[in-house]
Amino acid sequence: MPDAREFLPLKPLVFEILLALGEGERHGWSLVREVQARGSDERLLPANFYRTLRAMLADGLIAESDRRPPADTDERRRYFRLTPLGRDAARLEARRLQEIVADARLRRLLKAKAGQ
Amino acid sequence: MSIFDRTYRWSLRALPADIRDDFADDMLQLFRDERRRRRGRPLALARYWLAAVVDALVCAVDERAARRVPRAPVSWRSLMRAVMSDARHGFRLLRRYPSSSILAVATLAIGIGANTAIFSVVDAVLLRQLPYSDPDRIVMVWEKRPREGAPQNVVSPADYLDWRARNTVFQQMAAYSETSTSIVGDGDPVVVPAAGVGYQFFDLLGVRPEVGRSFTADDETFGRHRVAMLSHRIWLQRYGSDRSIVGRKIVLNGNPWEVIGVLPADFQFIEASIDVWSPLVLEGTGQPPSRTSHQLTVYARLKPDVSFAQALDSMDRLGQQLELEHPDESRGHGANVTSMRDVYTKDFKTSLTVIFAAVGLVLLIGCVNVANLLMARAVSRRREMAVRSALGATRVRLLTQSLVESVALATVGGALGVGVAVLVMRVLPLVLPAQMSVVELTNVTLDLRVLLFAVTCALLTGLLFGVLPALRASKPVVADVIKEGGRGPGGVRRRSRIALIVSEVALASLTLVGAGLVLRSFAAISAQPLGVNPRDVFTFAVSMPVARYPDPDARVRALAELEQRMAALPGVTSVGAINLLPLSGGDSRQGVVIENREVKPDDPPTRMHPRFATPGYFATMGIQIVRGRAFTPQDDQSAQRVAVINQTAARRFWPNEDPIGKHVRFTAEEQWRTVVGIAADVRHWGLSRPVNPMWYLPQAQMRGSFLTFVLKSRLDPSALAKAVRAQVAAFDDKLPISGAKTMDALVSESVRAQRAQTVLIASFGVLALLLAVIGIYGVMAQLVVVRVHEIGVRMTLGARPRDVLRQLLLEGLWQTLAGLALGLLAGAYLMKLGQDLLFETKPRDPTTLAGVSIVLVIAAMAACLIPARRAMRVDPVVALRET
Repeated sequence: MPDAREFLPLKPLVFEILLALGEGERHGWSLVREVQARGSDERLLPANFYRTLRAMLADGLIAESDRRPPADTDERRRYFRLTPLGRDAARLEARRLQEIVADARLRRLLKAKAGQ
Repeated sequence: MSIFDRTYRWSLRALPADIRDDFADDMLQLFRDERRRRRGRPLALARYWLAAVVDALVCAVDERAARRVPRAPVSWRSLMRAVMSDARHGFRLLRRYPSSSILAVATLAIGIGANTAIFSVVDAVLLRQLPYSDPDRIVMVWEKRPREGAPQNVVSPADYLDWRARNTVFQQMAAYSETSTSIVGDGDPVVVPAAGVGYQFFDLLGVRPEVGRSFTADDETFGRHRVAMLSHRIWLQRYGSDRSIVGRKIVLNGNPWEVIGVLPADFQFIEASIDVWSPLVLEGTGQPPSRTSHQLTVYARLKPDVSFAQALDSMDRLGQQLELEHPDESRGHGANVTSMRDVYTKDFKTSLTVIFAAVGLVLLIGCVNVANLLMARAVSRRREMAVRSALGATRVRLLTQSLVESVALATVGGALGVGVAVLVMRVLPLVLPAQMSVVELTNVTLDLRVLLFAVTCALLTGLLFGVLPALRASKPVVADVIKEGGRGPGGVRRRSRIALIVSEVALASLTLVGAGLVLRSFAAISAQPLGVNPRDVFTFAVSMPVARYPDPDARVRALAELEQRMAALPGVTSVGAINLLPLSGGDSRQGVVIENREVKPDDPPTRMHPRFATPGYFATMGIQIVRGRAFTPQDDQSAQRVAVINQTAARRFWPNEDPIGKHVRFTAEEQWRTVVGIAADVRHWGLSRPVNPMWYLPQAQMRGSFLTFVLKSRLDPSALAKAVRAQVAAFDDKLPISGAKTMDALVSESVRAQRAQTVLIASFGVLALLLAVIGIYGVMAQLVVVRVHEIGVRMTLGARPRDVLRQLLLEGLWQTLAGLALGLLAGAYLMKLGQDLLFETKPRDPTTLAGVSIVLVIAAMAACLIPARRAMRVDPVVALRET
């Protein structure tokens, strides 16, 4: 298995997708919705989105899932899930970002949250 | 599905097929979703759409590049060999379909040539900078009279001198005033156009004399003012380019003037014919400079740190100040500043733009025709393409071939277009004015950039309509096409064919509406009564030089004797004279007082245009006296002062009473004059211009020293001119005559500009119609070929030839009507822009629109008829066997 560290830093869109899949399997469309809902990316461009998805599949960060909710009867829908590699990558990226944020606080660019 | 969705889906086609299969639907849905989020924000929506399309295309390129299988390197030589063979094939094909190829190439050549020529003129006159140093800083200063609706009036000497002395915004300011001067010595006595200018005039323009010096402030001092600069032309023709002319004295208007300089050969001015330039002397002549006589055109150069708006503002304030200082003379007068370029291009802007639009439409129709030809060819070659593809030709190779063919068409069209452009440039002087702005038409050269532009248009058309069908044709399921026998189900898609016919008709009707309107307008102008009968009238002007005839009585006696000598010429039936001839361009206007007419302080000043005429003038010119009498020889110095007014003056100043017997005087004089007659209106300023109040005064009482004689005679004008010259020379051999021409020639010159634009636009209209008919014919002919099989089947099933004919004609008719509707609709909006060109013709003139509709429908039906008749004669047996 390739080292998850090789993928760092993750592109924002890749990170968003990994986060969205963290809660469980999703089909492509609901994934889009989830990413949209986070509102982090004002302009979600379709071709780029699906290309990213394909690249993530090829890299093994995510995988197609055969399991689907019983309610979904649409055969054509493709479901995706996190792979262990993807989970590692997301976790490493989150840690990396956390360190950066901590650094920013240290330099008083950000106010420490109350209670911390 | 909205246009955004549709175009986005279209852009997704660029992606490799497997990605498309997997994700295209999702992508489209995502796009739609994002689009909805931007509903009501058109700008954001358009930005997102653009970003998404670009994103799809970039992805497509990336993906395809990533998958590329490395191929054997292509050697240049083999590539060139392939292209050459394609080119040969392309030209062979052009030869194989000679008539359609010739049509397409000819259409392109005409479109490209006419556009290049016309744009070259547009560029030289409207777009290029004026040929002076830093021309954007040169402005013209006018007197403005808001109450009379005159924002750009010529300026009085007193105002000009005050402006020049008191303004704070101009580096230089110089007035310009046109006159004429006689030259005696160094050849025949002649009268040449001359101009008096403020001393800074040439410095202001940035023009340096080729020899000698320019004017200085000292040259404006009365008594030292007899210095002149010569045009390069007269220096060459009369003085043999002799540089020692500088410092010599020549005789102008009977006085010796010192030549101080010669203008350079490349000096261009709006009045190109001025041969003698002298300083404009307005002070120290014994009379104070006038504030009521308006005659000067004023040029000025902005100071380096002053903006146009600042100058306008500052001059406006100066104007208001002068109005306060001189309430009697300057009431309601202000100062206005305009850019020199705007003034110079004003007369030509609309007409040149309309002409350019007309040739643009012709080029568009040409492009549609080429598109039509190429698409037709793509259809007929589907089979060839399929076979070649089956034999192993790559898609790229097939595409290259169409490309080469399109390029060949455009190249040949462009090359011939150069020839057409040269021809059009030769013809233009016949119809366009010889000088527009400062540009003399003969100096306009073909513009290479435009030629390139037009050829590029043709190339793009070729690529769009040649390569796209080829793209489609080169990817067929090969076996199907070969089986079909090259006649696909309808060949070129029905929709494109309809689009072609509709656009041809629309473009042609737009051009024709324009042509129709200018024709109507020209007819309206020509139908205007001139007020004189120009037939068999010969005119020439004589100016008595004050230097040689210092006594005013002697001048008047001399002119009277000349008139008697003219009357005695054999073949001359009647003679008269006037100081300012109609249509000659000369004019003057003065304030008058009308007895017992109440004038409110805010009324525009009462003015009439005075004319000094001899008793014979009215009869010779055929000017009708509608009431009262004309002048008689008894109306002389010793008799009562009399006047004849024109109908416009009668209507305006005596609206409900009889003007005969009423009294009028010049504002500047005390002497009352009695109206004795009313003459029919004469269109002094041109057929399309309104008539102003005018009054004729007897030359014997006014004693002018300049007269234009009119002679009625059946004699040949050139013989008459000779007799006239001999007679004048017999009277005084140092007396030059000028402006010898027939009245008919004057009338014809006066409508020259309108005739020019009418002829040009009308010919482009006819050209557009012709090209459109050719195009419609091409489309219909192709349609019949494509549908031979269907027609055969229908006839076998019992359709009569008449039914076939009717169906095809009906189809053509509907498409024509659709195009017509589009063209007329566009015309209704676009023609408003050219309204300035129209005289008493509305841009939505119903007669024109109806006429254009009828002409177009008939022409389109004729174009459909030939192919439709061919369809009628289809032999069902043959048609079915062939397929």
